[in-house]
Amino acid sequence: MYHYLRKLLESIMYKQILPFSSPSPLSCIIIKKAIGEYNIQADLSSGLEVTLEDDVDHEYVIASRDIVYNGEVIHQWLVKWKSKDMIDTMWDDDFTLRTQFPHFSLEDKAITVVGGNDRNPVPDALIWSKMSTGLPIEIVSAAREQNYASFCRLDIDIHRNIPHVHLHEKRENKDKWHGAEIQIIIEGNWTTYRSKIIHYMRQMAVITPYAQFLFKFITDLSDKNVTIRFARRTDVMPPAPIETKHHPSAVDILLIKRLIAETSKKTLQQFLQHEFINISKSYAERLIGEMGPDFSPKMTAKSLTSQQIVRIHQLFRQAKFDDPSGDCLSPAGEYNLRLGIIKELQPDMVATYSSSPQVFEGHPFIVEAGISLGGKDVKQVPKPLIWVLPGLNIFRFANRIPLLFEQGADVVTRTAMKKINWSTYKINQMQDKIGVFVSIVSTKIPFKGTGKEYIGDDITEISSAVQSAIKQCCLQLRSKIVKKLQARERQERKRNLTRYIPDASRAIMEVLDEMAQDYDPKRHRYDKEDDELVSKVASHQITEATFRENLSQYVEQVDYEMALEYATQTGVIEEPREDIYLSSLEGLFNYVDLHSPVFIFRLAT
Amino acid sequence: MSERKRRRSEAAAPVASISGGSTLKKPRRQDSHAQGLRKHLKSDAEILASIREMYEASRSEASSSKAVSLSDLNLSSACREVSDRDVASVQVAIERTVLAVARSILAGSGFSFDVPSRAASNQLYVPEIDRIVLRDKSSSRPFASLSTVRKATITARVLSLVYAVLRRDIHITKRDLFYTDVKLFQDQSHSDAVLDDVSCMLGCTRSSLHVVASEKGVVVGRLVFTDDGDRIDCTKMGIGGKAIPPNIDRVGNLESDALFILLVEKDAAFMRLAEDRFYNRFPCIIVTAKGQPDVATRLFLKRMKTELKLPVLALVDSDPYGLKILSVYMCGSKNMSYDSSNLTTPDIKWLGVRPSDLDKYKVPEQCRLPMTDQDVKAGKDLLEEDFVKKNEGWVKELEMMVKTRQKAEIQALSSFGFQYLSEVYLPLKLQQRDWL
Repeated sequence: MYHYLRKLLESIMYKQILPFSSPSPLSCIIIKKAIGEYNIQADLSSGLEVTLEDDVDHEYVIASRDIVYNGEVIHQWLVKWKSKDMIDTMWDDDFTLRTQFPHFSLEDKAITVVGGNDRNPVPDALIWSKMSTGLPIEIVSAAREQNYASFCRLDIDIHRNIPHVHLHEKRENKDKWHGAEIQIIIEGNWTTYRSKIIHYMRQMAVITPYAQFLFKFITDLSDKNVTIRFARRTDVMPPAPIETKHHPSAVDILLIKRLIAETSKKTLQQFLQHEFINISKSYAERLIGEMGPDFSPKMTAKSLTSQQIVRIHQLFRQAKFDDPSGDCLSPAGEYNLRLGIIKELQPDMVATYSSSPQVFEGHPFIVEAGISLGGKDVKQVPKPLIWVLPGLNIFRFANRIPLLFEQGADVVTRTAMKKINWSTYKINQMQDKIGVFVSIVSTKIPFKGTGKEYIGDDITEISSAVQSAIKQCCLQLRSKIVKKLQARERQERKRNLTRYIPDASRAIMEVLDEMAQDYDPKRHRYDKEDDELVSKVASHQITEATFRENLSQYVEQVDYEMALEYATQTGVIEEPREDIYLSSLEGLFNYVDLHSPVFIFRLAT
Repeated sequence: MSERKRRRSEAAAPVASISGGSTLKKPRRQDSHAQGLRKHLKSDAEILASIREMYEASRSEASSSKAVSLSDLNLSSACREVSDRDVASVQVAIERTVLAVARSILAGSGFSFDVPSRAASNQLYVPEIDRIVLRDKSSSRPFASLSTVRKATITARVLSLVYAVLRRDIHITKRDLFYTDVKLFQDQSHSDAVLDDVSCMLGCTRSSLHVVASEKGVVVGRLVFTDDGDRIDCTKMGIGGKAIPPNIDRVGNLESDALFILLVEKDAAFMRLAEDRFYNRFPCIIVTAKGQPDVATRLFLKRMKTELKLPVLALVDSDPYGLKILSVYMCGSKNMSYDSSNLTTPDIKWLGVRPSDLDKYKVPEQCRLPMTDQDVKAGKDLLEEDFVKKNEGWVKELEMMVKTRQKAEIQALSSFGFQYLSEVYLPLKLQQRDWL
């Protein structure tokens, strides 16, 4: 069990990051995507081995997407043309393609229609490595309990857009290592994008405390070398998501067409019932009834015309369906998020919260949030590392992948800046070092812009879920902060009270001194005790020092009483605390796991 | 707020004067109306007769009406008021307080002051005497608490400083007081606030503590009085007028042949009236505090009103702040409510400039200003105030102001000529007995 992930990521090392010359920020995105890829397919334990697509068509669609241009949604296709190089591929508008090539069936040619959301990052990385260095990538992978590992060295044939395998062999795997190791060599501009790359790694480390990263930057100038190790702090990985079918509210016409093409179900009713979630048999019949006279439950799904599909799509949009469950999502988990924040930032306080699954447009989503306060001081951190600065420090994750650019417009930034009244929670928005970590996982991340680097704040379901998640964290922090403030007040009470003793004593003494000047023992101006007091002042038996002493004693006594009261109220005895880390156990044991949302207790037997 | 108001008035004045200048060259229709009003003016003798009538009425009213004090009223809750006290009694009060504190410290139980609360929640408007007074809620200010230790120390310090001042029988300003221990007080607002607390605590007025604010108010006109023994004739003070002495005790032997007191909101109008020797044409005393009135001006007005038994007419801007300033003269400010009996002059007549005058005198549009949302809110708040509610005429005027959302400064009248105010507007107002 322990070996489960041990080596999984140790090997994502940039063995030779060459002197970067390309000014393009793309290098940075590539690294991001390359690492990000790991995240998507982290669970290789199910025997998944890297397989290669050999049967690639010559002329095909690489991907499709929707962009918003001048307020209009435009569907675009990334098409590989027979006569052109892979690097020449460009996004083309649906309209342009269809008018210029009326016989070119886009849907049929689509191999990976990615729903306009996530492009597959590995081809990106592959193409980039080919373009910048021309060096092949190397992959080693092994499934659990497999006594061999498969090794593959390949690059991409850009002209034919097929993998070009240099070497594919089985290798010895005596110690039953399992996992995947990918070595990729790319070129990029280190000087300019250094901070971004490291920031990205750091964010990765926050969201995946179960992974270990080693980052090295090696040059001839040894003083410019950078080595950062992101240590592993847990063995607990987020549970693998459960495969799900599409929710009827979330599909578009193209997807319905594809599902019809792929379905094994014969009739329309079976198709509806089995290819979508939350449509029961009776509901499928009702839906078909609603569709109109052209439809019947027994009609074959494959015979549906385009107009009929449009009608189905229309009805899917209008009809009410039960919300999808969140089982198909793979959130990092409150435990991991918390651990990651503590591990990477070492904050004074941290609070985490995980929302229950919620829904927008048929897509389930979960918002996980963490708020940290304080953290390592700028001076205590080696230069290239990120730290938290006074004010809001936003860390965004979409499907557990860090978002790096275009932070200002993001739903998380906007919510944290505008919709949270930090002072309510005794947090000073300008001076406290606040870390805001929000991870949104969903079957569809509603990215804005072409870079897919931020999520707009126009989807009310998401923006209010983000707001409430941050608020929940703040509420947890508030009680901690209040306690801390009380403790500090207790500590400083004595000092603050003592500070005013000289002023108070002097003020009183000044009046008494003047009174004493007029003192006449034979004349009784005041009552007996007062007279006595004034006479003592006149004879210097009572001086300013007397008042100081008395007040100091009084302050001591008050402080002691208040401390007692505080202790009886809270009942907590503050022992000095120290940080401890438990290192992982070597060897094989049988475990009993006790789960809680924020921790897991594991007993070795 | 007075600061803002003053700045605003200064900014607005040139605008009004420019338009006034142009209208002189090129008379317009509304000007002819305004100038036409001039014809309605009767001879000064007749106007004087009208004023004299008011003067007599106010005198007889003053002599017949008995001063109502708080103790005469059977209020459900006990109220606190302060009174002028002589130096010796204030000294004794301080000595008592300090001795009690000293004994408490020596007994090992620290010390604490019992300070009457001056918060708005502890204030009460008493319609019978037309003033704001304090209820008897008080809060303790112990040395042992972190939240009050600073205030307790400052209170002790202010007590000792005031005591020293009283023993030497001198007067100091609030600024002097602050500078004697800048390190402890940190900000003058802190020492000022504690000073008010102290006078509340000792049950005397702030002037009895011999701590005064610097001069602000000015008086000119048919008044003769002595300032620290020097005879002052306010008709011979030039245009600037005589500064109102900050400590009223210096003032004595008030004499006057005036028929009324004219209270002017600000300096510009005051100067116009002083330069035109308005007080010679219609015997009167002209007073201004240049914006929000300070304690000295209020005390002086009160003194004149009670000793000379003169009616008081007010000339303020036609905006909510003008009325607010009027309310401070009449019912006291919230801050000094504990001292309201010595500071307030009830029964001030609102002569102008009233919202209804704007149309009556056809003040040109360019001299009227639109009210901001804040102004409207202030106006609506005023409508809720008791001192406004009890005067029907005022309510009507205020409602009109809020409805039209227009305000105007006294200087708006300068659009008909710089001297329109002193030559036409005021005489006509007096002739028509047009006050509320």
